Amino acid sequence: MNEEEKTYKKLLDDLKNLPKVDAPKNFETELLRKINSSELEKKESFWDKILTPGKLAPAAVALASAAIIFFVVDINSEEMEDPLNIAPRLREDLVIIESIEEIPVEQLKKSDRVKEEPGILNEGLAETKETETQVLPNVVYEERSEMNSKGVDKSLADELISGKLESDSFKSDDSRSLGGSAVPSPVTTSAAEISKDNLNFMQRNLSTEEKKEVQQLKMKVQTGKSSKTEQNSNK
Amino acid sequence: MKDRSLSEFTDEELILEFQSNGNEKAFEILVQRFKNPLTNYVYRFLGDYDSCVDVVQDAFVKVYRYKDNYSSLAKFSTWIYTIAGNLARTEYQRKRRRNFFSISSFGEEDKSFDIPDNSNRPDVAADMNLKNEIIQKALLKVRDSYREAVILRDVQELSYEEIADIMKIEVGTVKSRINRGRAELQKYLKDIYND
Repeated sequence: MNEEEKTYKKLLDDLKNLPKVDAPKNFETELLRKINSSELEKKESFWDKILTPGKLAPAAVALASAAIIFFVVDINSEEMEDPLNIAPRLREDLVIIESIEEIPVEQLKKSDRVKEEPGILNEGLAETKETETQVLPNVVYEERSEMNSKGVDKSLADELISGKLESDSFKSDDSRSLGGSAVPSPVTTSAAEISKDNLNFMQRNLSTEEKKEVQQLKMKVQTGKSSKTEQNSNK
Repeated sequence: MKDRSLSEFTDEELILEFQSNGNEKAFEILVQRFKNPLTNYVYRFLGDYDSCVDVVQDAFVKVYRYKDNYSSLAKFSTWIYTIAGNLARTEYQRKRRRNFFSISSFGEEDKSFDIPDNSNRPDVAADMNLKNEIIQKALLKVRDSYREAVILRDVQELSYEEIADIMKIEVGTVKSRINRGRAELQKYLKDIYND
């Protein structure tokens, strides 16, 4: 027995003589119950937890969507345009017509028909209420009558118009507009038939003399063409 | 016949039998051998019988489930005392957190609270049961690490080497902790030993 143990002799004796505490009688029974319950709750491994269908399905969906986004959306694409540097969009539904020649014949005919049957005009107006432009058949009719009064042969004028406009792309049936005044009004057309090159936004007012000159030039061209076609047909 | 031979096995042979052959009889014998020493050790550490029984049962459940973790290099007693000690420490800390606002102050080594208790009177302390109760209360006031060392040495009567293995500290540290624990205990029990 060393010095320390002598110092604490009483204390050590008391500690040694403390009554022994035993386990309860049902200790083994309770222990077996705990062991059995712990067997049921046996810890799943990490991979077992991960590879359950309930967790695999959302992960697969997330992966697939990430792959789709990666291949569909090219972040470094050069085709992407800077919205601040894009040229303003063309108003493809707005076309300025300066003369009668640019109006499609079908529209002219229809406008005639509309004049004959005013009820149709009302219906047409009702139908095109939502569009930006409105049909003005009376104005068209006046233009045509003005041409006739100026000595232009009607059949020739029709031919000229049709010849010019057959290649033209203005085929809108529903809405069109003619400027009765010097400044022409816009006419709606189908967007697919208009290209940027064919558009001319410069507005110019032709005087009556200038218009006559233009008509004469066109008639000359047309007569030249018709004579050629006659010669060809004779041959 | 086989049971008789198993009962003659050492602790290490029994756990190896349970490991290799899954012989649950070997496990039962180990339970029989260690349930009372472990209960006594954990009770002295926790001071609560119900909690101590739960902790000891949990220790045996861990031995059952993780029997393959036992290495034959160590003594079985060291292994199971380590498991029980760890669980007891966890339970003690859990209880201390729960009783944070309680008047009891666990682990305060420098502070001595004069709790009015008739059992501290010298005339009453003569009674052994009351004396044991006082000692148990004093033990619970000792710092955790000192208390564990004192219990293992002075109550369970284990060697310094075994205690060092169980607590995973050096033998010198074990001796130091035991001395400090005893000193603390003596201080708390001065009314008894100053007579």
